[in-house]
Amino acid sequence: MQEKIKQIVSDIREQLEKISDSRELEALKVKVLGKKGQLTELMRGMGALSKEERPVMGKLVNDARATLEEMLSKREEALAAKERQERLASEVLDVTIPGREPSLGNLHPLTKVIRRVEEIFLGMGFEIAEGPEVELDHYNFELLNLPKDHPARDMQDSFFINENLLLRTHTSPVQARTMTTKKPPIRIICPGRVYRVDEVDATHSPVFHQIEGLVIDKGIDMSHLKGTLDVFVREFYGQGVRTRLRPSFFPFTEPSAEMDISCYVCDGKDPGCRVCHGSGWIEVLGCGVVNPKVLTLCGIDPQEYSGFAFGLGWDRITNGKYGISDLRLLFENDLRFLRQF
Amino acid sequence: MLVSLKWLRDYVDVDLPLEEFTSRMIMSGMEVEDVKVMGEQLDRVVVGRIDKLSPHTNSDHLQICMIDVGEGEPVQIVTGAQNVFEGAYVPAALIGANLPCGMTIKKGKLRGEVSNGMLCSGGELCIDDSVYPGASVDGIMILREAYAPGTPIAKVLGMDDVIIDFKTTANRADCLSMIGMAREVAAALHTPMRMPAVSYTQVTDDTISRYLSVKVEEPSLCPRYMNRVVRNVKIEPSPAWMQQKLNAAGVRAINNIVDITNYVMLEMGQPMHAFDYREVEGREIIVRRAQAGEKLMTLDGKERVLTERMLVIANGNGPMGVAGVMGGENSGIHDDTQAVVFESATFSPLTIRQTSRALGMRTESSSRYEKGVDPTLAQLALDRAMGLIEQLHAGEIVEGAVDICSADLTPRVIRAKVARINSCMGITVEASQMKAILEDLQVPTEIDGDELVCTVPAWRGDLETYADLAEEVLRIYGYEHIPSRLMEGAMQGVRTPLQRANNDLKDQMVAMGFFEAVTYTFMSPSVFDRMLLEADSPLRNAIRLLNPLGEDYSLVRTFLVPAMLQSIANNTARKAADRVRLFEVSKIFVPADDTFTQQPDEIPTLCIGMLDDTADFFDLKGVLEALIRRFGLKGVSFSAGGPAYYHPGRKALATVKGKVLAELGEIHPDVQAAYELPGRTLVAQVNLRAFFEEADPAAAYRPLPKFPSVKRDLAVTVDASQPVGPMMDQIRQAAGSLLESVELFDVYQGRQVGEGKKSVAFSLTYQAGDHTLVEEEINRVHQRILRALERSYQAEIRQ
Repeated sequence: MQEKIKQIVSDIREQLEKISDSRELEALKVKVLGKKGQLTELMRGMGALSKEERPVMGKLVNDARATLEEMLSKREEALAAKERQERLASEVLDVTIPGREPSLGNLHPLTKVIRRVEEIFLGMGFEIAEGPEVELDHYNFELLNLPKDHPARDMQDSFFINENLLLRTHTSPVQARTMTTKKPPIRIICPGRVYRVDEVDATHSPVFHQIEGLVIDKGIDMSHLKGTLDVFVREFYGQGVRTRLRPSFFPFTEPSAEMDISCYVCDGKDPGCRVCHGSGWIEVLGCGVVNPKVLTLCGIDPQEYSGFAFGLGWDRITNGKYGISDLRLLFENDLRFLRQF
Repeated sequence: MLVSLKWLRDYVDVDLPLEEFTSRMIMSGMEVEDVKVMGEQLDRVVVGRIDKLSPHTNSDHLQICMIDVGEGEPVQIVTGAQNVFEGAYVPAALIGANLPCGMTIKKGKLRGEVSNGMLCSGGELCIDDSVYPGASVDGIMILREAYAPGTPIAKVLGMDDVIIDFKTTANRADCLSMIGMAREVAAALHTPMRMPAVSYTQVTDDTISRYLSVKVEEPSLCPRYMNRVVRNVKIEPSPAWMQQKLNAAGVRAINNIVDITNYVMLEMGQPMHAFDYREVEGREIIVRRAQAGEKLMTLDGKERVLTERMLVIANGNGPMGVAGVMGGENSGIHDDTQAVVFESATFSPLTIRQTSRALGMRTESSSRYEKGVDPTLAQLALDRAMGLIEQLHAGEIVEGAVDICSADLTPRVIRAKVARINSCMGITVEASQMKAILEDLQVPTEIDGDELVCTVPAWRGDLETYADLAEEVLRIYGYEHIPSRLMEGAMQGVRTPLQRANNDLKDQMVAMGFFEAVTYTFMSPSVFDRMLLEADSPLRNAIRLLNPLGEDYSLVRTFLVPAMLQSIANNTARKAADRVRLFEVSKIFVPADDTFTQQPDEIPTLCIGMLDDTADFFDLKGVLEALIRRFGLKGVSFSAGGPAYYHPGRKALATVKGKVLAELGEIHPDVQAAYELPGRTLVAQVNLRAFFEEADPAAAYRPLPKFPSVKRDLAVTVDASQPVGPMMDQIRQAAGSLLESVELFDVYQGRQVGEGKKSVAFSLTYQAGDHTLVEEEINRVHQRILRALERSYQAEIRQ
């Protein structure tokens, strides 16, 4: 009996060596430890033994079972490890194959730019004001110091609907509407769509977009205009960009100015620069102290309040920021264009 | 305004380098559009005198010239031209010259003879008779005077000049003249300016009243009208100096009389006109409105039909010119003109602008009148013209002038507090310095206590208030001195809830894979038929522009769908993408009842477009449903229907509380074909005003379920025509609070369910917030649902 046990253990040890997968291992396990396994058979045969022999043999069988179980489980682990290894080895990917991108959409570059601009001005306490695109002559011109025969009306050829109504030529009527309805202090920017009689080409469009701003408060002067716009320029174009004001003319501001920024492409170092044409300066916006006549027209006392206003081309700064050379691209909605931003 | 630097120096000294000069002008408010350095390419081309001419031994057409070019030793140049002669003065291009015609002059040999340059024709210098008489001859250009050899040819040709194109602002009509610009330069450079001296003598035996009687019928349109008569006129070309100045300003020289009128206009800013006295029929000049339909052949040879809104200068017979715009051909100056009537007048800017617009003529004269010409100038300019008549010996000045003046010539006085002027500048300038600056600008100024008293010169009509004075002071003092300060006082800078919602909406569309589009507000009337709209469709009621850029841009749009289809079509036509998903947020314009005084209703609108062979109606509807869920709209229902441009069986309206929120559908095949869309196209248009009114963005947290949910499927057979939507509503209603959600997972039609029937399968999720559901509870609810479906839709349970 003792011999038999030894025999079984050594047989199994031998067979285990030859086993190469977990299925064979399972079969072997059944063969030796299963209900009809060799060891179980042996236990059954113990009935024939004497009373003295039984516990001795019992212990021998149990020891053998423990040994076998340990051998089997060791082998099982080794096999599992091997099989996992093989699986991993067989699952190698070519990671240089391109991924599958989810189909994301995108905002229009004009929207991306206005959100940035709005953020900068919101941070300085400005609100965002909106107004109608089909506007009354009264708000588009009259209140802004542009009476009917004013030569400056020439500067903006308008699409008229009739004598009273036109497509607004600037977002300034939003300023006029705000001034006539709100008490100072006022800090607003008015982004919006505007219209002028211009044939479509690379730099002109009958439909385009403006961002205007207006501040009315006590003691506002040119230095606040410069301070506010300096913040905008640095945030929008970069901390190193410088500004300069130079005199200009707009009927609704006096004194008026154009603001130039130092060229963010070449900083004035490239005489052939396609952005500043070697001048080192780029014209970005018109601005000025609100003409006291406009304040009076809009029902604000110029003795008590003063203010500044500015206006910039939304499309133009968008094109400038992204290096887009043709205005028409903004309105064509070509996906190859829209995907780039 | 084209300004010749050479001419400008007649009135003011400019000693600065060019770049510094233009930059000083820019910083004082005169924007520079362009700077053209004349004769840049005439470097190394000088006056040469042919001292000796000998035939070339090896050629029968070449000649060898020994030329004095002012360098001591004569230079040998071989020429092929036959019109040269000994003693001739010619342009000689020396070695290293780069001619305007593109040639570079190098040392060379012509048939063995050294040639150290080239004699030039007018063509090789890119000039013709208009620049230098005789320049157009075939052969070498022979100079008309004996200039010192070695003189740069640019100087001879008057091309030693710089032409600066200043962009004057709309308020500065006075700067459309050399003198006006000189005043600006003098102020910007703090240097004095010189006015041209004017003097002339009049004949004593003749007086203007013998020649003319003048009547101004419309003094409000013509506040000042002046004339002078010059007799025994000798018409001839004006002298070279005058021609060169006119040329530099871009005005063609004609003859001495016309050139004088143009010269005075360019110099002083006063448009002038000269009539041939023979044409002043009846010896009378009447300034009147044109009669409707009256005709006039203008100087440019075109017949103009006039209207009552136009002002004419007429004789007893008819119009001789359109006031302030252009003279008539009949009354122009001819070679045999003997007496000339000069006109120097002031017209109302508005009437000139309207006339010039209506006739489509914009002249040097009209563009000045439109901006406003100061009435004191009429006299100064007329005197200047007479001075030039005398200087050019062009005729005899008849004694006396006509001057019909209703304009107020008293100068305006502005009183302004110094502190007030300073208050808008952001810097403090002393009163004395303000006075100095204003006087540099020729605005006589007194300091009276804490006030400035400024007498505004006639040409500065733009100066009215303290703010105007502030700008004058500041621009000469220097905008660069304005400090940069932040505003004091905190203010609330926030987006309105609607502005935030609008941004969120765009972000959601992007998250769903859509690209934002931007299209024009204009619409072509041709879209209505193309979009299959019925004759009485409200969408056809669109605002029409009075002056559109063309028929295609003539309407203000009433819906966004056509532009969306066009954008999709552009992409597929260009093969930019196989699948297009776009959205646009813009306005549509619904005309008011009274379109004359009332503004239209501008409705913010979202348009969604998809051309995608993997998507169908339900993908589009799903996008809308996602938005509805995301923005918390309650009670939105979809029903079949919508505008004619959709597929009749595949369109729907979404409504909430009886309001139409959105339309959606597959585009009608005919419309699809009209836009050349290569596949089924899905479009939705959402009224964002209604949408955001119903939105409830405040999302509140609901605790996550603590107890397990139970899923049950339910399949029923109903009539094939039975819509599923109401069935789902019925399920929710019948189930009550235990039903967490119901989803449709299958719709099947086929033999197994029988003719005219369909099987509809739902997946129901049950959930209780406070306990674990037991079988019996679920069965009860499930049965209730089934009975409701049986009752309402004759549904049979499928096992």
